[in-house]
Parts: sequence; C-alpha cells; structure tokens
Amino acid sequence: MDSQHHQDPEEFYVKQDRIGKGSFGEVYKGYDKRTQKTVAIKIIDLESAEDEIEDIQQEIQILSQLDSPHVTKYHGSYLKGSNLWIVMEYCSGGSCSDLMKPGVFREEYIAIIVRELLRGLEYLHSEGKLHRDIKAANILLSAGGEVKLADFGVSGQLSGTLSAKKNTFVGTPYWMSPEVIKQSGYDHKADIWSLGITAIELAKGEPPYAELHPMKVLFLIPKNPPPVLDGNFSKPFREFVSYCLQRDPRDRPSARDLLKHKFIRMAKKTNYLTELIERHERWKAEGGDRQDEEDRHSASDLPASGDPEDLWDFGTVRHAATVGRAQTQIHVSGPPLTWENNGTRRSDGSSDSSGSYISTHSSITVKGDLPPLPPSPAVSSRRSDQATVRHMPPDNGGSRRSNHTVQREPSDEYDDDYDDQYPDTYTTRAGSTAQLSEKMSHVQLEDDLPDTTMLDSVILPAISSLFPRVSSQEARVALSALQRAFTDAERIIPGVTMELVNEIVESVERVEDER
Amino acid sequence: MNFFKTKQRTPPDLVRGLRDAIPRLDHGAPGGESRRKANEDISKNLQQIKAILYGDGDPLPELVAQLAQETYTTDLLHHLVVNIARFEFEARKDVVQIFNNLLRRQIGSRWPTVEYLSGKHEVIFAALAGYENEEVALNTGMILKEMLRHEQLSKVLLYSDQFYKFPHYIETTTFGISCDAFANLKETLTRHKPMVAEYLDKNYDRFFSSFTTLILSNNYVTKRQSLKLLGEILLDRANFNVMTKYIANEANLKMMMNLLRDKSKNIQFEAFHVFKVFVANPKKPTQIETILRRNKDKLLVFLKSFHNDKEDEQFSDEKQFLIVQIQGL
Repeated sequence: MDSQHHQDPEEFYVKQDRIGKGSFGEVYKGYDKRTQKTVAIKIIDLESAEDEIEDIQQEIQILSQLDSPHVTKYHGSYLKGSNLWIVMEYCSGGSCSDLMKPGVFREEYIAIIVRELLRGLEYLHSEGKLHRDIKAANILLSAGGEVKLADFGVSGQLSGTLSAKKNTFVGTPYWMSPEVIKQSGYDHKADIWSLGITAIELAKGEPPYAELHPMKVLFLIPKNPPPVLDGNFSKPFREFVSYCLQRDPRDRPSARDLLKHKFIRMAKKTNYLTELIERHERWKAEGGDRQDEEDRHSASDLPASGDPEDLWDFGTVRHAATVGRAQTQIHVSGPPLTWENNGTRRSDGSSDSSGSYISTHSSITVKGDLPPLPPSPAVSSRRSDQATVRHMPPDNGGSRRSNHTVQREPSDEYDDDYDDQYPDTYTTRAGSTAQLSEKMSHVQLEDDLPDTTMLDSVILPAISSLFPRVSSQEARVALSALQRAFTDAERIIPGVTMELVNEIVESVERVEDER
Repeated sequence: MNFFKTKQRTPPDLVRGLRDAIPRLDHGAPGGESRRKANEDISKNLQQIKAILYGDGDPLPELVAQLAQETYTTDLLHHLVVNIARFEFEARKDVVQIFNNLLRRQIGSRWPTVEYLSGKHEVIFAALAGYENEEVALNTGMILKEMLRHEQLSKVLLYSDQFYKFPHYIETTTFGISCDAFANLKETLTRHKPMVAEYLDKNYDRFFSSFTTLILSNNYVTKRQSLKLLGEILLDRANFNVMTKYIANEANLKMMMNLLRDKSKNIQFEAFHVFKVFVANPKKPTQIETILRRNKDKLLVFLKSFHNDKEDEQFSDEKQFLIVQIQGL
C-alpha cells in the first residue's frame, strides 16, 4: 500500500553506528536524508515493551509540544514492523556522565551547566511539565557546549520500562526527592531536588549514597536529613546546593528564583564547556576509555555499587511527566483505608470485640470473628493507588495484577476480596514492633497514604521476574501465591514490605562486612 | 510618545485584531515582511487572549464572558482551527489552550461553548481534518479530544460520514499521529456508551466493515490496538446486542482464529480476548459451533500451549474455562 511509504523511517533517515544501548532498546547515530543533519535514533521493539502503546503516545504528545534550546528536540516517530523509531536531536558532545570519566568538573563549569539546566527547567515548568529524571547521564552537550536536557517524557519513560526483564521498573533512586519516593504527591520542586543532587554528582563524581544498594537508598532519602555538599567548594556553591536540597518542597526555590542566585550569576558563557569536550577527547586519545568499553557490555548506568546480575533493573522509574498527571496520582490514592488505622472501631458491634482485644504484640488471627467488610469504594481506591505505580489509567479500578483482563471486562469482575478482611492485627517480633508502629504512624501522619513503593516497585516485580524461569504450572501458581501473600501482608501491615527489605539489606551488608 | 502606559485592550479588540491578522497571512510575498508582521500580531493577540482566560490563576469573569461571546459572534474558533497550521509554534499551543479553556467553561449546568459548537459542526470536522497535516495534527488532535468529551459533540462526529475518515488517518500517518487519531477514535467509541451502543446497533454493517480494515492492517500498532479496542467494545455490557451479532458471524470467528496464530504474541493475546467470547457464548449459533467442533482437537492442543508463560491468573482461568468448553463440544 502506498500509505506505508509515508511511515517508513528509512525513507527519511539513515541509521548509522550504534551509540548506546540500554534496557529500553538501542540508540543509533544517523542522519536525515533531506537535510543531511545528524540525528539520534532510539529504536524500541514494541512487541517486547512493557508499556502500553497509549502511554508511549502520551509521552510523544508531550515531547512534540516542547521547543527550547535547552531541551533535546523531538523530530518524529516512525514504525517499522514492531520497531518504533524515535528521532531526536543529536548532541555530539555526549552526556555529562561520559564527560566526567576523565575526572569530575571544576566548580566554574558546574555553574555554567547548572545555569543552563535551570533555564531548561524554567521552560519545562512554565509549560506545566516535569522532567523527573535529572542526572548527569541525562544532560547532553552539543558540539558548541550548549547544555540540553534529554530523556524525559517519552525517553525517560521508555528507558525505565522497556526492559527485557518484566515489570522491573524500579528507578535509580539516588537522585529522587523524598516526596517522590514516598509517592505522596509531588510537583516541579522534585526536579529542583534532583538538580541539587546532580550538582553534587558533577562535583564529586557520584550522587550521595552511591556506595549503597539502591534499595537501601529508597528509604534513607526520606529518613535522613538532606545531603550537603562538603569539601573544598565555594560558599555560594554550597549554599546553592543546600537551597535545592530542602526536605520540604515548598522551601526549595523555583528554577526562576535560583537563576538569580550568586553561584549562577557568576557563571561564564556556555562555550567554555567545549573545554570539557576537548578534555574528554584527549582522555579518549590516551586510551582512557578502554576499560570503559569493556564495562559497556555489562552495561547499565548504575553507580559503582550496582550488580549487573541483579534481579532488578534500576534504570529509571517511570511516572507521569506532567504536573496534571502527578496530581491525578494524588487523587486516585483515595482516603486512607479503615483497616490501616490500628484500633479503629467499626460501628458494627461484633467487630469491636475482636478489634480491641488484639494486642499489637500478639499473633492472633481471629478467623471466626471478622469485622464487617469495608465499603467497596475503599477497596477499589486502594487498588488504583497501587496501580498508579504501574501506570494504569487512573479511571479504571482494575485488579491488582492482571489489569489487562479486568479492565476490559467489568462484567466479568468478581470480588475476590472477601478473604482479605482480617482484623487490624499484625505479627511482629517484639523487638521491631516499636519501629514498625513508628513507621506506620509516620506514614499516616505524613500523607495518610500507605507507602507501597517497596511492594510495587521491588517485591512484586522481583517475583514476576522469576516466572519465566520456572517451567511448571504448579511453580507459577506458587509464585503468584507468593505475590498475593505479600500484597495481603502489606495491606494488613502497611509498611511491612519496606521493613522486611530493610532487614534483608541490613543482614546482607553484615555478611559482607564479616567477610 | 507614551512609553509607560500600555493600554488594556478589550476582548472585542483582541478578537478583532486576531481575526483581521489572519487574512493578512496571505499578503505580500511568502516569507515577506507583511506576513511576518501578521504572524507576530496573531501570536501577540493569542497570548493576550490566553492571559484573560487564565489570568494568573484568577481570571475576571466579566472579561471572560465578554471574550467568549465575542468568539462566538465572530466564529473565531473555526478560523483558529482552520488556520492553525499557518501560525507559529507557540501560537499553535496557545490556540489549543484557548480552545480547550473555552470548551470547559461552565455557567451553572450549562456549557456555553459546547452549545455553540453543537450548532457549528464544521469546527468539529475541521479539527478532525487536522490529521491531514503532520505539523499540527497533535494540536488539533488535542482540540478534538476535548470536544469528544461532550456527548453532543461526539455524537455529531459519530453520526457523520467524516467519522469514517479515521481509518484513513490512522493508516496514512506516522506513529505519533496515527496513535493520536486512534486514541480519538477510541474516545468516540467508548466514552458515551449508551449513545454509541445505539449507533453501532443501527449502523452495524457499515461500522464493522470499516473497523475490520484496521484489524487486518499491515501496521503492527494499528492491528494490535484495534483488536484490543474490539475486545473492549464487545465486552461492554452496553453493547450486548452488538456483541451478539458479532459473535454469530463465522467470518469474524475465522478472523480471530487466524489472529490467534499471528506472529506477534501481543496480537495473539488480544485476539484471545475476542475469541473467548465466541466460545463462552452459551447459545452458540450452529455455524459457530460447527467451526469450533471441526477444530476441537487442534484448538485443545493449541490452547494448552498458548501463552503458558503469562503470569496472569485471570488469563489462566479463562483459558482453562475455554478448554473445558471446547472439550464439551
């Protein structure tokens, strides 16, 4: 058919060398046949992509509406078979994380880069959009030293999700703000936090906590005081970083305000940055990247501590990219569920007895004396709260795992939740009870939402990744029972998954220490 | 000379200024000074109109009302959609924001812009025709999507001949635009369920002969998405009559059985969700039952090894159910 020709990317673009490979697919250098201009081409196989095509399309819609010298330009997207080609502006200078390989940047370069990033963020935020994945690896330099934000929207999302492994979309948490990790709703100030972390990364070569396991970092960031830039740096620089890294997003200045900061106002012209590109060239010429080439095969942009054989793919977390959708996330989370409030009484008399007698230290499960079922809206709101992590459209209150089938089949839906309504009790070792209840009250006080990040982003995907490795139906049933058990446990004991993982990580580290 | 006072232009000034600037886009030589000036005026007026509508988060109701009225009396929305391709990049985005802001405007239970547009079908069709121009297709697509949220406007499109241009747009554009057109087709077919159910019932043949071309498309995404949408349409309770008709047709069953063997796993999976409806039907027409019975053994072998790696309990249950049904034939 004639129409097919208009869609064939090879009619317009020539694909050349591969310049990158990630969990999402591959990136090629290429050029536009009509203009001879160099472009970057991301190629993603939709057949193996985890993303819904609608989500990819949404992100392309967002990309197509951006036009700024501080943002890599989107040229178009084409389909060839099941391969999606996303054609973007090419930046020959490479990414800041590449350019850092010969060594960290001096403060004067960082000031220039950060100023340009702020300009890019000022643009994005004025458009009501968030980047959500600012880090050195996503900052590109053109040949002339212009700084461009890359890999947000479509690319950011794709890079985190189109992994060969299934359902593994825990992101690199090192750059994430406390509120993003806690899923308690966030806005453009989350980008400001990530910018502060990136400034530290550029100055020291790594973000804070880089030596720790990413899973551990997921709860250190919300728990600890914000990192500070220590070392031999100017006062304005250290102050700038501290402004970005304030725990309360409302205390962080906007991009526009930060552009007025002394550290930024002192920065030189962007063309000085070509010195970084030249330095990298020299370093390569001297053979500095030999080790690097070898590393590339084991791949991933993990910081040094990452283990490539990990079950998880810590590429990037995906989330909504616009402010609007970030807000949706807050709304769908719904009110806190009655069963999370330890000691909450139902109006129904029968439940009162069981509810109030169960002490937090015991391990009683009163099977015969269940409290009444909670109203069904609460059930569905909890479910869609989990689902937002997995990018389900907010308006379908589907099931917890098989959103695919349920969403298309409201008529077939049956309520399998009747067995979930255990009393508000939980089993813990006496020693950790205090910690756990502290955690729980923390969760309720802070945002009234269950923090299910660890469950949704680590445990369930990890179990999912085991499915392809087992061969019998029985084994698969066992695995899905395991997933259900975790989901149930998390509902009855909010925060338990996080605590469990905490325990595991701690014990793993102890073992390492002993060796 | 007055450097300091910028006089506040009234909504009629702005709308008129904008409308007058549009024809000036044709004046003089292409790329010439007068065209550039016209574009500048358009961008400036659009910005000011947007400022009135969004007004730093606190728009003045009287000004907005005046502006809305002025756009209706001058048919500004139509002019904007028809000419959007000639505007500058940011001005196109402003058009979308202005259009959609006016569309969302509510006075009590009334939606003035929706009422206005339900008498101006050409605006809806102009937004649809935006898919003919790559440059603006995603802008006009957003406008179309906003209109389709309203049943009155969605109905106008669904009942028109232009509705049948969707497959053409989906098939002839590049990925991003094709997907956008598909999303709006889906919006038309799923948002206002009873209205759509009535339409599909009455226009069954025309609709499905058109829709089938999408299912049989050579384009991977079109095929996969339209199969998925078919599943959603058939399994929606509102479309019970349509489903009954669809699953009584042996050509449809054959098509699904072939798609179960498509080389793409995703397409196989989507086909499964349509195929299951044929099998699950407790009152299978003879022609359907004959085909299923004729393929009984093959189907059983096929289903037993079909997507066994799926970690989806509901899918496994459904597959098991189908196996039992087919065994019982």
